[in-house]
Amino acid sequence: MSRIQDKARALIASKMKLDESEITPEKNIFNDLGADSLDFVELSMLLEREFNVKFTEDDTANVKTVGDLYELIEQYAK
Amino acid sequence: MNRDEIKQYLPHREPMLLVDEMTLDENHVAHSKYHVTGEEFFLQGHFPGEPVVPGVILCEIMAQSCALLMKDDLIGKLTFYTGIDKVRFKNSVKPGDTVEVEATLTYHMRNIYICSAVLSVGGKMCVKGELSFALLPDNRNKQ
Repeated sequence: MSRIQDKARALIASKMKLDESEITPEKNIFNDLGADSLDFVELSMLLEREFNVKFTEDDTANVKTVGDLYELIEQYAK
Repeated sequence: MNRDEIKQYLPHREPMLLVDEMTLDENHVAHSKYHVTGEEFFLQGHFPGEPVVPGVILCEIMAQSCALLMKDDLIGKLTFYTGIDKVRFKNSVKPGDTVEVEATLTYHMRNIYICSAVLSVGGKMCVKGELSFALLPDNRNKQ
């Protein structure tokens, strides 16, 4: 797991009040982690700030899983 | 922007329209005012002989001020709270007070807006917090 993924996983776990071990790439952010639309927007805001990136609405519209989020951050944080 | 102009954007109406005036500065910070006359419905019973504006109403005053930050997006929409976070009540607000709110848009994605607001009276902070909203279609005039 990359450093970016490590940091993102810690942020997601903290935001969703879950143990880091529960944050795995295949997990659906909404159905498995229990995020609602506001959680997702707040999470995007936290990740943008942490990694100094800016997601577009099209980017985030396709994000369903933790792995999708990792991929998106890595795409911007290169 | 006066009360009549505010009504062109905010869907709220009396007795729940809680912004009398609003200006938007060059940094896109909203500055709004609301004068507590003492005749408001929410002062009845809160509390007999010692009227104090309820905290939830102060949050609503901040929320309406925040909503005016995205006034152009409000046309044809209704505003719904999605969250209230980190709210702290520092001082009470009483009849005769003129409430001033400073509101800033923190983040926006899709139809969700996250704002921070500070409500004060005479320069003394009374409430601060982070508020979030969803804008949803206003279907009231559609069949």
